[in-house]
Amino acid sequence: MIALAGYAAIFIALGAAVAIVIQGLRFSGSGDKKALRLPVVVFLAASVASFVLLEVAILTHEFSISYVANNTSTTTPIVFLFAAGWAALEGSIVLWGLLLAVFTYIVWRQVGDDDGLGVLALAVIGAVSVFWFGLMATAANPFAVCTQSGGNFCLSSSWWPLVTTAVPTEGLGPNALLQNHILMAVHPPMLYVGYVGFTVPFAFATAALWRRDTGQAWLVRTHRWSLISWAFLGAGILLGGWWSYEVLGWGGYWAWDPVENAALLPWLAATAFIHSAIVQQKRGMLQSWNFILVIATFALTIFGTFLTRSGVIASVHAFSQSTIGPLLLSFLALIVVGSLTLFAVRASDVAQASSLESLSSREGYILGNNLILTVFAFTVLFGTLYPMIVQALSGDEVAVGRPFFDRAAVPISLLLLLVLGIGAISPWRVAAADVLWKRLRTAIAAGLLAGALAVVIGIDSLSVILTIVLGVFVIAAIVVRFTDLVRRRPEGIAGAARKVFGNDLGYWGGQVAHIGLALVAISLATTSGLAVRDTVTLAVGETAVVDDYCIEYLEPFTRQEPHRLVQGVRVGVLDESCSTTKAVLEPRINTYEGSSQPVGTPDVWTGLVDDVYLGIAGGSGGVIKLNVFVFPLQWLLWVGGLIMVAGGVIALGRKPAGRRETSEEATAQEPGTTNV
Amino acid sequence: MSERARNLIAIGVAAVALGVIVFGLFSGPSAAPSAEDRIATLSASIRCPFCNGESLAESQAGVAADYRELITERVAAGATDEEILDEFAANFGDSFILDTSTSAWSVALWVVPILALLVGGGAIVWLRRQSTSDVRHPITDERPPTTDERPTGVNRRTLVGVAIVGVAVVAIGVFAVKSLSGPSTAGVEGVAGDVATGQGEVDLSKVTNAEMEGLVAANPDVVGMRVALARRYFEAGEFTDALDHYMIVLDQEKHPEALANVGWMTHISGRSDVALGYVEAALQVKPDYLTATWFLGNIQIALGNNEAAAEAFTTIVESDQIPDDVKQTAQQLLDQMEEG
Repeated sequence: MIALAGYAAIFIALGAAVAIVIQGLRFSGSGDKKALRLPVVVFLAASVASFVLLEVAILTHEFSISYVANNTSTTTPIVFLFAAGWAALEGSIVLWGLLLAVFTYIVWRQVGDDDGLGVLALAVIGAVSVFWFGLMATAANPFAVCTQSGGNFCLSSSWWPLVTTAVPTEGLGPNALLQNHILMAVHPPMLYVGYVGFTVPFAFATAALWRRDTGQAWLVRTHRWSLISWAFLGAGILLGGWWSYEVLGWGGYWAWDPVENAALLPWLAATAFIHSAIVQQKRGMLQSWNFILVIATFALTIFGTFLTRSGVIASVHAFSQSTIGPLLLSFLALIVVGSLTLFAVRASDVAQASSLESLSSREGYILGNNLILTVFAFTVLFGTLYPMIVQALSGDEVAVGRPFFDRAAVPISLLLLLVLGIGAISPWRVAAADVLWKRLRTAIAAGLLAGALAVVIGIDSLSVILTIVLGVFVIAAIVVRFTDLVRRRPEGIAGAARKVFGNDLGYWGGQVAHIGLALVAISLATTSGLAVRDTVTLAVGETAVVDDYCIEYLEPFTRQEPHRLVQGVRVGVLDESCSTTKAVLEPRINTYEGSSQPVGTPDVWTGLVDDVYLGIAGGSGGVIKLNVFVFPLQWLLWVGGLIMVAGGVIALGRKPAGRRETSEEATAQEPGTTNV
Repeated sequence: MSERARNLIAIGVAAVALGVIVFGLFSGPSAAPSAEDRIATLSASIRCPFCNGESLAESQAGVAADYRELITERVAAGATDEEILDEFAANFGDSFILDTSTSAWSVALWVVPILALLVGGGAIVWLRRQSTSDVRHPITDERPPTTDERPTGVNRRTLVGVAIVGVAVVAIGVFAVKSLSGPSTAGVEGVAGDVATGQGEVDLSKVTNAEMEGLVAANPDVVGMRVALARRYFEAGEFTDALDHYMIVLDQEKHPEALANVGWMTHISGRSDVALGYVEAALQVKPDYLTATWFLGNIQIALGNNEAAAEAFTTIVESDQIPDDVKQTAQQLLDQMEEG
């Protein structure tokens, strides 16, 4: 029954999406948004219904639905039951569709009365939705009914819902890795909001190209969408790193796994886009480049999905591979070829008012960082695909992994920090050397001083020292600029600070994000360059000293929980002399019902400076083998990442148009545009 | 404070600090990396066989732990990083070495991004040159270009657009060929289970028998891998090869799968009496081993012990972990035995 209803909801949503495309195309000339009301509302309602029905099926253990039987069980805790709604392939597309529908509705609400651009953009979003709901209706049907039970899972299922169903008596439960930590319920939706969100800027960009409406309207109107999507994508990546650190037990947060790269790629492209969009809004430059970047960002989100779901690349993240690979690839090809062809055809209509007066200027440095970000993205993409390219060309098998990406990322990131520190405080148009020196001298001294201090306390890694120097340089440059501006105002310090910050939320939000990035960079350097790793073997009551810490094996324990068996050890973390206990940690190994694959769960103590990270490496007969990792300033990564996201949110407070003084008239006068 | 004083302080602090950094970094002999650091770097540089593309450092699979142990032993024995990497490359093939800095292919890997950076940098400088004549139109200029500027713009940008489309199409083509011709990873789940000594994350479909032979020969003590190889031969009906490997496994430990499958092969070769011993031993090690129970039933029939066979088949029929078709066969055999 639920299956049938869910099926109907998907087909209704698919029909509504088709209607959005047709109506959008028909009324893009007149810009009559009312013509789209019915399809948009139906689309939203049907998408919500499909999501809710899937959740209801999961929560009521409707094992006659294959997805429910193969991804949940009656012993799965409620929060992971709920999360199972998007944890596997078909469900994740349902969530994707829901987000698309919600965004479609919001965009429709924002469309003005005679708004041809907005209506055509809705048609583009509708076309993207047709693909995703088409997937659900065919190759990735979340409501496929089970036709052959395997006892506690579904052996085979039917696309057509009106058949005799077989009902497994119990479900298989989620993948053990996916139910080991609460973050797994949050990390994918965050990423999806980011991924799906970039559909909107892409839709406006292609609609603008189609209509030869290549002024700033599309940029201004999608500014917030880009920022929100960027922030969510960043938060999703951050949460993924945190999950990896907390759950996977190898003591890291980033492995340059192809699927991790696939999430980083659109984020890098989007970061470049957000910056070059500012240049266009402030200086009227880079129109073409912005089209390219927004197309690239959207294409990379689809590419990421393709990598994750197609199985072309072996990855731990490829949790649910399936046959939709070729479909995703075709869609990706259509997007890339279609939108770039459109761009090429319309290139002559893209206004170009290039007036880069000096390479040393805000726009010059932003351009420089755009280049660095793009090359960064290109390098990651190239490295990820390189094994396939080599194999296709020569048949040789090569592997590209962490050593390459680490080596490439360090110089690129250092260069990025350097240019960022200078660019952040540069004036537009021309930044004369004496102006830069005046604004940067304190920061240069502060950065080098921090580096010297790091050397004095015994850090001897060149890349770590350089990162500290440049990270502190960036932070100091921004802080100095802020205090300079505050001092110049007549009000008291607090009032002046509020004024300075509040008057230009876009700029200062960006600077907050830059400070976050500098902190992230410092943490990346210290946790990878200064980590201490050891493996100790202890009997109960024994201690071992690792770095500045004493590790004491207290006792083993075993705990049977409804859905898993927990076997762990209690281990004390003490100071170096083994006298004061700082914490008692419980690294453990969880074995989930219906899974032969035990999942190690590390435990972490976070001090002022170090993280002490314990994972079980083995052991028997009263002896335990522990991996002991000490990561300096690990917490700074999470804090810095949060600050970056917060910076993006602060920047949302900016007035929508870039040039505050003239924007109202400028946008109003542009033919074919309407204010939002 | 005067501008001059500020400048002097900044320059002074910066110079002293720079001196400390340079002196600190380049004076003392740099400490050799510790054994633990070397092990960490090495295991991050070697891809774990059968672990979904993870490196040895990341994978939590048992087989990865075995190899980390191997690296630890080699480091302790005094082998250099290059020697260890070479050993792994010789045994597994170059595609298992993630640190590509020594391979010829890595040249292009480095050159292409650097070229991209240079081309991009050149483009920015070109943009700067282009716009020197344009300074007259200040900040808010966003009018469409004048008509006399237009033709060159059209050609150039159209060309760029077409070039990008071309590159994209080629890239996607390469990708498509690869993804459509690549072996499917579906259907390896059954095999996956035990290879990594009880851990999942295994993808054997892309490894040939010859490669696996190499791996097993290089690592004679990694039982899980030998069992996986033997299972391949067993499932392909190549019993001689399967038997060789299973017997080596049995020298090392009483592996239930090895016992059961050796029993089955012995049964098929006609010595059901000998086979019985193996299968019973498998069930001693792992009482809930349904495959062995299934073998046991069949062997007991061959030996004429219908009662014992019926007991085994009843276990099969009552189990909820057995596919229905197997259950049906077991039920049929039970029915036949009842009939006589």
